Amino acid sequence: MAHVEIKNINKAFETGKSILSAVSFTINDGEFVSLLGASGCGKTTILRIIAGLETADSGSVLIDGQDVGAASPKDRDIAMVFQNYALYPHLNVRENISMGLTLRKIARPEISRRVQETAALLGIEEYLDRRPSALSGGQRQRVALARALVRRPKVFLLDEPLSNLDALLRDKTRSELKLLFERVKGTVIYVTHDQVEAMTMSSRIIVLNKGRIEQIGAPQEIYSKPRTAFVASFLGTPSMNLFDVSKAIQCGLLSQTAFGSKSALMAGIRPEEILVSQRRQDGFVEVEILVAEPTGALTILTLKTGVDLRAVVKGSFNNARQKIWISLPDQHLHFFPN
Amino acid sequence: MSQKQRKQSSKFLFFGAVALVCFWSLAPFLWQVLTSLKSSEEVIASPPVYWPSRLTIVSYFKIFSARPFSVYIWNSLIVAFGTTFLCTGVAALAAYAFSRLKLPGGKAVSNAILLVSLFPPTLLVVALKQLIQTAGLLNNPLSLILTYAALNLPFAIWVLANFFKQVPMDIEEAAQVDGLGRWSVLWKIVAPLSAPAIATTAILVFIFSWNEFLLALTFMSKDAARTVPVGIAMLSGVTIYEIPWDQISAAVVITTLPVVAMVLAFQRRIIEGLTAGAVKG
Ligand SMILES: Nc1ncnc2c1ncn2[C@@H]1O[C@H](COP(=O)(O)OP(=O)(O)O)[C@@H](O)[C@H]1O
Ligand SMILES: [Mg+2]
Repeated sequence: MAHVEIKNINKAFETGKSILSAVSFTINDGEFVSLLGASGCGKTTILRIIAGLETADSGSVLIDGQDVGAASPKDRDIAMVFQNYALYPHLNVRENISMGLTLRKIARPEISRRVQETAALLGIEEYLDRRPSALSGGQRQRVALARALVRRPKVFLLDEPLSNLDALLRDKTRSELKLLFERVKGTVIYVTHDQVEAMTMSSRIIVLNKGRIEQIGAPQEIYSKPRTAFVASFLGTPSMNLFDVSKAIQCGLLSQTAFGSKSALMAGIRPEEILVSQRRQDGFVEVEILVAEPTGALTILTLKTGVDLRAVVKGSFNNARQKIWISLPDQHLHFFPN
Repeated sequence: MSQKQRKQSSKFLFFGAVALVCFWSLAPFLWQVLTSLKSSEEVIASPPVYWPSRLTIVSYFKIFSARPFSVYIWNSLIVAFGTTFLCTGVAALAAYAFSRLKLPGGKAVSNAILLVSLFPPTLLVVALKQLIQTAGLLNNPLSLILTYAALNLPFAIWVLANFFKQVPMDIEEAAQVDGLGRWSVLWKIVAPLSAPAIATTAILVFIFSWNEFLLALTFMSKDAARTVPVGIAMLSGVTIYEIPWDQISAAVVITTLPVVAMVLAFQRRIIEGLTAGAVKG
């Protein structure tokens, strides 16, 4: 288990087209940290640089305080789970899992004990003698995890390990994974584009946007105190409403006296924080409902105001008149530079 | 014609065509087999005897007793296996370098290699003989092994490089993270995954080395150093008018067997699709 430090990493595959700029972060021993960002923002590239499969143009990677910049992947004592698993097709599951141990000259009985133990942990004991081609997607994913776990490396690097599973299996595996890595006290860097995975699994989230770090923090902190408009809109479903303060003042959603000084900024409010009333009330503004989308537990309302606004109400929503009154509570408003 | 009849007649035509092609290509070999089993009188009989009246395997004994045929076979085995291992091994290394390492000028070199293979070896015979002589390798199987390997390398590299490129990069990288160095990645991951291509290449190189005549004749002047094709060509009777066709045929049949055995042994490998199930599916 280890402490990982990334210092000021820059990377461009073609000159002038920067993929990563000034990426720095620290992962503590035993921590589960997610790298969250849209597809193509450089998450995989960061993992590959940590693994030693790619070299950064500048900056350094430290594992347990040691600069591993010159070390090859095998000398970094890291394990990586690839997005498409990358199992060895010509070897059976047992050989797939034990490859890393065999190479590290670990005694045979110890290897078979650890393979057995890891296979049991992941529920793949029955398949040990099969080739990967005879496994389902979920089983392959487990084999890929087992191959990483069995090594007991300093750091686990996981590249969207759930993205190839169907929705049901993904939800189930998500909580399993979290438990699994808690149990082995692994230091994990988990790449995902799925905010739910990042929110539910990690102790901290690193939000990436176009190769830059937007914010680092605990899930709740990132959710409740987004530092940039990007972070604000990236986390939460439905995503945070973002609008110009000046426009909101124009259409009466915000008062000129309170927010006039902020009229150059952008404001944001989460749909679930908007107060909704069926009756006229003090301080509430009357708006028309464009669309009401019931999702079961909640209903998402798209409102017709001077700005794009969506609100969420509990349960089903029945309003024949298509009119409601809303208010944006001051304490739930976020402001970002425009 | 009914549907069924039509189906049957097309089936008949198909098998008829297959049989014809088989007969066409196997007829010479069949003729050799028959000849090798004829008695000496029937071999030279005119008009030719197509079906021997009496089968005899005496010519098979003759080539081993009256001629040093086992020595030829031994020489051929050394040369063919030596060439196959040397050529396939070197080609695998070169092909891996060309397909994976981003070497400066790698592309140009790999094209140049292909260009070199267009030279007909016949043009090189005299120059090669001088080289071999200078190196003191005349009548040494090494001379043939080195030359055959060199002649086959361009083709072998080209086939293998194209196959290696198809091994998903992810698998190699997973292996690197698992702790394999460049060498182990090649031998434990890339080569097994490219087994069909390697087997095919090896077979073709083996067949070439087993059958090659011109260079073998040129480099190996001593009878004890000769390979099978040259040995067969040198089989002759007491006079020039007395060519021992039965023995020649027996020799041809015997020397064709290793090649057939090789192909059969590797056939399963060639057909087997090994890359299935590497990634999600
Ligand atoms: N080997 C490469 N050569 C050139 N461009 C690359 C290479 N690898 C990744 N990229 C580019 O870098 C960007 C980030 O890629 P990646 O790290 O895979 O993103 P993510 O994993 O966040 O989806 C993409 O625009 C991708 O096209
Ligand atoms: Mg990626």
